[in-house]
Amino acid sequence: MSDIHPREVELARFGDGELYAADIDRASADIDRASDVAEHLRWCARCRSVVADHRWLQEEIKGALMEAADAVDVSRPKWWAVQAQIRGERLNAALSRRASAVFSVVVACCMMLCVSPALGQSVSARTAPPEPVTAPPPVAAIVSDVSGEATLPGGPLGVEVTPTPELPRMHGRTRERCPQCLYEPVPLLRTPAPMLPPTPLEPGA
Amino acid sequence: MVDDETLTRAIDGDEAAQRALYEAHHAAALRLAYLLLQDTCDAEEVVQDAFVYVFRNLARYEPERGSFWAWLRVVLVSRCRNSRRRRRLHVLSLETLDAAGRGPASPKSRGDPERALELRGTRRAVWTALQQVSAGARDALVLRYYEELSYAEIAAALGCSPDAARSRVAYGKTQLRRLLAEPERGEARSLAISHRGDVPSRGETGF
Repeated sequence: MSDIHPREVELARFGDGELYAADIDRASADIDRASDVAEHLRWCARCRSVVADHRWLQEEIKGALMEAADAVDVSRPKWWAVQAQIRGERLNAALSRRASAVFSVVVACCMMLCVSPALGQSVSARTAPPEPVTAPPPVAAIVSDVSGEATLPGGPLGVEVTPTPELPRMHGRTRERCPQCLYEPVPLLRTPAPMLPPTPLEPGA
Repeated sequence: MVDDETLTRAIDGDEAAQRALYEAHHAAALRLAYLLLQDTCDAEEVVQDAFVYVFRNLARYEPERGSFWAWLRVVLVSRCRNSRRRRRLHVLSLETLDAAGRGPASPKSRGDPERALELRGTRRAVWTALQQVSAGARDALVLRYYEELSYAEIAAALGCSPDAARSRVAYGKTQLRRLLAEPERGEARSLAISHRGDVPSRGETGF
């Protein structure tokens, strides 16, 4: 015999017979709980009173709801109002679809008008011929005068430029066009030969 | 209720069949909406919205999944709950106006159904107490004891689990019992207790 009173919610469900419900998916714990509550009610008058209240209340709720529902003044069915509302909603939906389509077209045209000039400018900038880059003049070796007295050949600055020797071609011809592959030699560029520092003059030479 | 042929023609777009469907379910829908909202004007508005939704989406209705009334009931309960939420916001703003001395006319002028109801004392007390129960519990009580739905059907209508539906019904009854037993209610309690009778003895309960 349990001294702990069941909660009123449990007593309410017991009063409705829910704890005894034969639902297939009811857990066995509920059935065990129902037997515990029934055992408690054998000796507890207070809980029996609560269960009786709930059984009575259940019937009163049904009666009150039925009487309130029967007393409702059911107006004449307004089928025309339902039809009008359906038609209005359909018209609004069609208008909004048309408006969104027009808006999309306008936005697309604006984008084309704004973007195409910018695209044209970027394309023209990419296709402009590059400026020719000329190689800097070759830097000639500056010969320093160790003694400080004698003048060196090549002028007062001592700069002497020598022509670059011609490199052998693949076809063995240096200045003529190859009749087989139509190769045309590239004009040679005159580059100075690397200059070694002169050996210092011997004193008295 | 309408037959299957009328329902099929209504789904196909036959306006006469749709009208027959509407007129067959209009009264039951209005009563259920009134029990959930306790206001005739709101109930009529919600019923019209529910029927508009149902007829606009009639092509989606599948007869094998349930009756037309079961589908309409789910839509109606959902619309009632949305209406209650909107009305709660509306009431807050009206209270603000009332405090500023520019309140609207008394709500009773909108058509208080209790004036038209010839309820007995106990039933009136129960009906009054039912309006003070929380909205979720009241919806569950109406669907359980007026529509006589199973807990699975109540769960489908309210968007909860069957166990939650059971709990709401039990909680609603507990709230009602406490409201009817409050000392302040005086008359309601004495009426309720006197009509119920004495506490049954151990043997009478059948345990």
